[in-house]
Amino acid sequence: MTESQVDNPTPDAPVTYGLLAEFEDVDTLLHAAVGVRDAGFRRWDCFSPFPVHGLNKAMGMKDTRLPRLVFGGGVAGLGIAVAMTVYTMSADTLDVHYALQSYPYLISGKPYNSFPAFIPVIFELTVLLSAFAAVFGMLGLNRLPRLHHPLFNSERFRRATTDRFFIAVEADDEKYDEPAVRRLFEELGASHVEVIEDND
Amino acid sequence: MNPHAHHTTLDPAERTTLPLVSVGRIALVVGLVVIALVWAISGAGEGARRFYFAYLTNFAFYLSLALGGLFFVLITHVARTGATVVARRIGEIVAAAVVVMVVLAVPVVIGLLFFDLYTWVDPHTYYHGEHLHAVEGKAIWLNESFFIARLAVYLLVWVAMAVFFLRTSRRQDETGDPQLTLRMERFSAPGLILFGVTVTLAAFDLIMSLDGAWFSTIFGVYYFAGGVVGFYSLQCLLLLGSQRRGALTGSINENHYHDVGKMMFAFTVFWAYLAYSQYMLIWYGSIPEETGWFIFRGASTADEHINIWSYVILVMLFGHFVLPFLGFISRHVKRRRALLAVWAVWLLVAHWIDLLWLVMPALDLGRGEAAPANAASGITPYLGLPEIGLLIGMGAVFMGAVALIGSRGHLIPVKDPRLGESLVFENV
Repeated sequence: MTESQVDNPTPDAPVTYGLLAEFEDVDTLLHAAVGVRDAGFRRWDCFSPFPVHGLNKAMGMKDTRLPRLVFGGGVAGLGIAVAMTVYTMSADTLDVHYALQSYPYLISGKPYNSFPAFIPVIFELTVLLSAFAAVFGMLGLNRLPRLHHPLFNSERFRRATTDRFFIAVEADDEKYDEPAVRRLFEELGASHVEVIEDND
Repeated sequence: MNPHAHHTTLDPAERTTLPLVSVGRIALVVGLVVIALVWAISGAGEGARRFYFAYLTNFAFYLSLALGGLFFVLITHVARTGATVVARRIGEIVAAAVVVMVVLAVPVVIGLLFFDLYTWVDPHTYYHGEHLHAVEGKAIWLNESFFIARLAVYLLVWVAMAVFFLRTSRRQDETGDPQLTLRMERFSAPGLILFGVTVTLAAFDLIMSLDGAWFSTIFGVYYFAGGVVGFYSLQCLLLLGSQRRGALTGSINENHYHDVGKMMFAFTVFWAYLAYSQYMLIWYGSIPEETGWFIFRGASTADEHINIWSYVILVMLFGHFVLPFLGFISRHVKRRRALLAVWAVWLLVAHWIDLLWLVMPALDLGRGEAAPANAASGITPYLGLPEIGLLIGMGAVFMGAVALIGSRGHLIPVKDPRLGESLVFENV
């Protein structure tokens, strides 16, 4: 608490979130995205009412890290399930503390450790933890859920869900300099540029 | 304009044909000569029966590739897929190669009639006790004339469907009539039902009935899944080959290869799922008449049942599932042509080994006095001249047919109404 007060001595005064530029069509947006990318900005994003092919490339976005998280989740699920099934069904834990003893159960005369019977369990836990990693990893990487976003302070930004395209450059980008960014947006064909306040 | 968009129309300079008539004819003749040579060396005397088993292995292998092609065409139409339109003609061509399988089916019938390829033709020699009783009870279905009639019907249905799709699609190359697309789509759903029934029954007849006492209702799907893996691998190689020879260079890109790679991945997993499902239920039920088939093929950890096929199973576990599964996870693999080509060849080999494992052990059925369930000691490995020679010979015939059929027109449906959608397709 004290730290934020040091950073921001007047907490009630609005802080600038960044600069928002509005574009009329997809082609201008793609062209502008290339311009913002080439100017070296790192903390910025594009907004469009529908998915735009080639936008990732125009923005110079790197591949998502999500697949690695999912793979990690899957490997963890696989390992846990193998360990759990094999340990539960192992027959030689009688010497250990009773809380750690296994629970071998004889089923239709099969050997205790019968892998064919474990595969459904192993498969399910692998899928479950992969799915958890995918869903929660996606939310985490996107910093979701959140109840409000400074961009919603803009009336014009509502049209991002119908017929307008936007680019926002955040003020905490190292290269952020309001007049320069405004000039860049205007050169790139923005039809309107506005400052967005963060009044949280 | 958007600098990243591809064009929604075909570049007029694009080469969409690849005339390989002389290559195709040479392959066809060389293939037939190789088959004849293998027959001359191993098709008579002691090894005669083995020749027909090796022949059936390879017949089932190439047949499954053509059927995989037919399946691809059918699902493309039934789902009205936009993305895969550029690759559809390759599927139509491979499916139409089922025509040569009609001719290549003749030695299977010869094996049936004269070389006990199917042991149910003479149950008293090959089966004993309860097994004999079970096989004799199936005589109404498993007899020579009905078998041949069914085989003829399956082939007729496949040829009719494959020719219908190839002809209609090629007519559209000339007229550009969108009605033809609707016609193919209308036929695709009932076509899939017809496909499912015929492929299931054909797998029962051609492969499962090698052991007349055994049965597994999932067997047809298992054969089908392996065939689809094989087809997508072949499709990948055919697309790469066409592009190397300067055709389709602009219309097929890494986005389309990515899709082919996804299907190879998906059906590899589906195959493993079926292989496990079939095994697990039989293992769990543990009924001798069912487990015998697996024990005979080395699928057991009991010392007295371990045989050469046990190692083949390990090769399939890793070669047909674990390694390709890990290899295909990354999207970069599916978009890199050289890596995809390596996996395509790998999976084709794995699928062939699978069929070898399904067919060849049956050659030892009923040897000596033991019933199939405990005949493990008599099992021998089969990987030699008949198997590999026929793989090459029949492969040359099959690929020769693919080349000849492919030479007769465009390699993509040039006037398909969804071609534009397919050309600009992006796998984000």
